[in-house]
Amino acid sequence: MAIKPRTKGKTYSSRSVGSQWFNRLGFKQNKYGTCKFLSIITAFVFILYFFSNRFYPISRSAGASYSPSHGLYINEIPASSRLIYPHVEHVPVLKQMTVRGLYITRLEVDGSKRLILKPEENALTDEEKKKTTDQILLVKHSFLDHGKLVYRKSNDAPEVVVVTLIDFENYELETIIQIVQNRVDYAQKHQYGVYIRWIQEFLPVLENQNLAESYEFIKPLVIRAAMHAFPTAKYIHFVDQDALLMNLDLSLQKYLLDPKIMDLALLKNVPVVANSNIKTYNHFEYSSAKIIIPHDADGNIDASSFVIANDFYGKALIDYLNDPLLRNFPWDNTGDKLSAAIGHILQWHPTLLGKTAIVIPKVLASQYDASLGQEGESGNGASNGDVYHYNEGDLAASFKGCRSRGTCASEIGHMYQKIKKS
Amino acid sequence: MSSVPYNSQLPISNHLEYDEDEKKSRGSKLGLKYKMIYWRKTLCSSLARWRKLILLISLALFLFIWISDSTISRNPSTTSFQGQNSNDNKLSNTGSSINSKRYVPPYSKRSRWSFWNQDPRIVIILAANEGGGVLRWKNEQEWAIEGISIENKKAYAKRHGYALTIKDLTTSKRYSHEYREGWQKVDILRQTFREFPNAEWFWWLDLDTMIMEPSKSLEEHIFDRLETLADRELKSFNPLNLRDDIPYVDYSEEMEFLITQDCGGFNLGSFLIKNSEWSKLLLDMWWDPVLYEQKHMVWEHREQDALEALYENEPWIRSRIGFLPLRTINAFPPGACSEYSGDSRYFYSEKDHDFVVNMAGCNFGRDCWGEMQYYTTLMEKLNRKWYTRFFFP
Repeated sequence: MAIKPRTKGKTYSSRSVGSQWFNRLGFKQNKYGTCKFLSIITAFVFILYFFSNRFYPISRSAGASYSPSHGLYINEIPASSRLIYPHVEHVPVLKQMTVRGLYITRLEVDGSKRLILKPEENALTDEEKKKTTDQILLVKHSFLDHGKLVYRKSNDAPEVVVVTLIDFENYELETIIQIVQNRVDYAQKHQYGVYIRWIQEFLPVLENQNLAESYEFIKPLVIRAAMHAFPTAKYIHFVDQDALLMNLDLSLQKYLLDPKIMDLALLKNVPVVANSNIKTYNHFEYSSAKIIIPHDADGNIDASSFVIANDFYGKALIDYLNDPLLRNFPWDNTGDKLSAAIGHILQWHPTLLGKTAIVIPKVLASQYDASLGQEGESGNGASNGDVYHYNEGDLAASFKGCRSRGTCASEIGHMYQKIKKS
Repeated sequence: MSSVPYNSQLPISNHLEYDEDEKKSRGSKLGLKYKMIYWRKTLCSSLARWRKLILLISLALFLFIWISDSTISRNPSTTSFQGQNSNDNKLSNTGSSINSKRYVPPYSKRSRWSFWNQDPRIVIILAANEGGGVLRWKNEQEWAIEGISIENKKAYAKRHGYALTIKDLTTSKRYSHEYREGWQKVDILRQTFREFPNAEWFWWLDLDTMIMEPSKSLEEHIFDRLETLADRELKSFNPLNLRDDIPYVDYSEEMEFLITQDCGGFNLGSFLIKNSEWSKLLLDMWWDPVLYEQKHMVWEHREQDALEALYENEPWIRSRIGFLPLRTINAFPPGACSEYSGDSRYFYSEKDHDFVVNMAGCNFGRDCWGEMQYYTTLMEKLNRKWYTRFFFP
């Protein structure tokens, strides 16, 4: 009350001289002008403060920047299509070159020779490709650069990626084309990705570089590479080269990931591997299935066609399988080594078993039985409708054991014609 | 003032009357009242007179605190959010995991004063009673060390509102076979995870440790500056000469397991682990008979060596481990890592006010009781306030 006169005089004398511009702003119309101006600024600052708090969480104070994630090779190439498969037509040249011609060989201290992979190697640029006339060199580089392809488009990212290994040493060009075409046809139909690599690309990573002995443990290696190549994919569907996707209309989401169907396919309260005391869980949350893998007829894990989620559960299983300590353990030689290793992991680690759906083979890898095929009507390979053997309409037919029978090419060719017809 | 009639009897607004009144009734109740009113008025008037200045100063102060606070703890000038180029076909980006990721602090900023939430955010696990006198007598010095150590953690947990759980490490038959001897720590951790399902972080501490700076909270000491404090690669410090770059490691993942390295490799005497699905999976995968059967003769540090082997080869584990400098939560006395004496990375420094000292390996030819006494006295000396001597002369 008694304040007005005193302040009035002081402010006028000091302000009117020093800040002519301020009067022009129009705040100085009454004696509370400066106060009003300051209040507006204060209010503005407070509003700014509250809103800036909302935006802070996005900013991430990076203490140190780390190198981005990379695969086996450090320098990678963006893939233009979500169908990643090698140049199949190079098979005859690759056969000529053999694995020894593709890699550098190093003589170890103990006298053994090892193939070496160079992670820092750069891909051949287009210009270099044009300049090179040497066909052999081009094939070699296309082989080595294939592993550097990664898919990084986010607008057209596939949810499921079909992964397969192909082998130029033991298979003929015709069979390889059939295998690759089968995966591509299936993926095209459902907007899936395809990730196909040569088995021989992974030989240098292994300690035991004998392909026949280490074949099974290349599967987790290629799955890990596919997880890296398609980081936004939700599921990786591995299909062995000795298997064909027979029913191209069945999409994984509708056919298997649907809780109703998975409930029918799920094996509850059965031994994880034959004669084990550890059994699969009675109560299983279908939405949390991270690993979907079938049993074979003997009740063991069948690693010829299975689905793995591309999150840390899936990565944990795959990385564990890729651990040299696990890979080089003398597994029982009765079945295949990878099945034994997966069976072991699932029995010993309940957290992973709780995320694993062990299903009947019919939904992922029905066994194709050649003998049934020949006896049955017109050789369609159909059985009497049990869950282990291939019936018409099943997703995939597995020709497991065809290598020892020596009939892979004929069986694949025979069944491939069937898909073509339908 | 203008509304009050001139002939009003109200003495409040009239200075002259007030002075007379005061003279009349000096010492009386009324006089005191007038005095109070007078002082209040002068205060009000001076406040009002300087209101612009006060507003200006408080605004400046506020701005100063705001800006300095944000530069220290958040450092917005050096931010680089990685998910911006999600539509480009760029290789520097690892993909979806970071595209939609917002920065969340490694712990929730729940107020310490929220009484209605009884669950603690941080749980300290103290491993006590090592051996438990099963294989040999537990002497009185060991009892005393245990008492001091527990009291130290108890006071710290109480001060900052953390939970403390003391776990018994008695040698029991369950772990006595060489194949299983290291499983105890993992079993205890998994049991504690079930015991405190709503906790966010667990801090494991061995018994031979002493929190030297109880006034520092874990939030301000570790979590608020985790991104700058922790190192995720081995380039700068790699005592084991592990491969520093393996394929598929994704450092855009959150850190969920914070450990330290001493001169001999990983040290699990003091570490932090987040209560998460990943941690539970890690605790499950840590031990596998296939790995352990091949290596139990080599892995003399049991769970530490097993973790080193997993870290060496498995990117899913490497992606979420962060290394804190040893001295942040696990400083050594001169007796440990003694062959590296003089290396400032390992040893407790009184001058730098290191947080925790870990008398690691003091029962191997060193004097545990002597070290414990020394650091207890030092801790008391460092935390003595000027007023303490009035109460404890």
